[in-house]
Amino acid sequence: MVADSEPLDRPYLVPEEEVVLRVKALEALVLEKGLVSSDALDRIAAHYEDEVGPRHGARVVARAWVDPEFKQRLLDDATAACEELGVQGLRGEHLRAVENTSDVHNVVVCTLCSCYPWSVLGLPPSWYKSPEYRAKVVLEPRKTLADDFGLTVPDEVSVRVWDSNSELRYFVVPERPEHAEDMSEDQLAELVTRESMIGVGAVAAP
Amino acid sequence: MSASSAPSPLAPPATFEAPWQLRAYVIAAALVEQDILDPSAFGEAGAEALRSWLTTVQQTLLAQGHVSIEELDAEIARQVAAAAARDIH
Repeated sequence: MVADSEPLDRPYLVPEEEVVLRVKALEALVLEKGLVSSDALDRIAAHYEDEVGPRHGARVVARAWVDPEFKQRLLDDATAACEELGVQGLRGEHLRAVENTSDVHNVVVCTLCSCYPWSVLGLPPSWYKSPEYRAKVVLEPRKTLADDFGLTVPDEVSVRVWDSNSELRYFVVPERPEHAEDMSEDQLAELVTRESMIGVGAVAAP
Repeated sequence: MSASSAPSPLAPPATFEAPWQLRAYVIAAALVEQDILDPSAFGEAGAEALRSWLTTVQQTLLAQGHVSIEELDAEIARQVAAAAARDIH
């Protein structure tokens, strides 16, 4: 018998390959039984694969760059400000935006696990949850940014590390690049990268 | 935010470490949307926890009679055969 009931009681002992096949089987059955539609499955998957992405965060940042009043609301209450743009946090998740300035560079980590602001940044990069990043960026943030991400923060700029958790998740509002004065909000959003909103990258000038 | 981009009613883990984990999450979230599964049945989200989530999905579908163990066995056997065929070719 391929699938007896025993693995149900010992889920952590199920080999990876069998889990893959079990997922496929369950998906086939829920579709065959009409319990869910393939459209529903595709929609939810796409939300995390494509739609959420960092572009929601990029829209928020671009709005902050062009609208000082919005930026202040974002810094005061990021959860509420993001909702103004239709970017909703997950249940129980509170967002906090931290602003890069000429004096301060912010970088985000989750030292405990891999808490991440999904609703604005989408899928997290694999390195974000690595023990190396979680440890190094706290101990030697400036060196980590330079060595691992090629981001040199000038000595006169302070580096602040923010530790996200399951209830409070940080993201960075990077500095608006130079020579972008004439760009529209949509054009500015195109410049904003996931890395810049984690704080391990800068927004390149157009 | 449009309905298509609204978060699902089931908080996902922070990371998906393998494609099956995203599919497992998607199945669970879709069943929650249909009120077939109660989101409170799922514990703390986490990549490893998705194995137990999958068990919750399976047990619920069996317990509620949506799927029989025979059907599940047969479908898994089909998936095994399909995987074997892919390996051969």
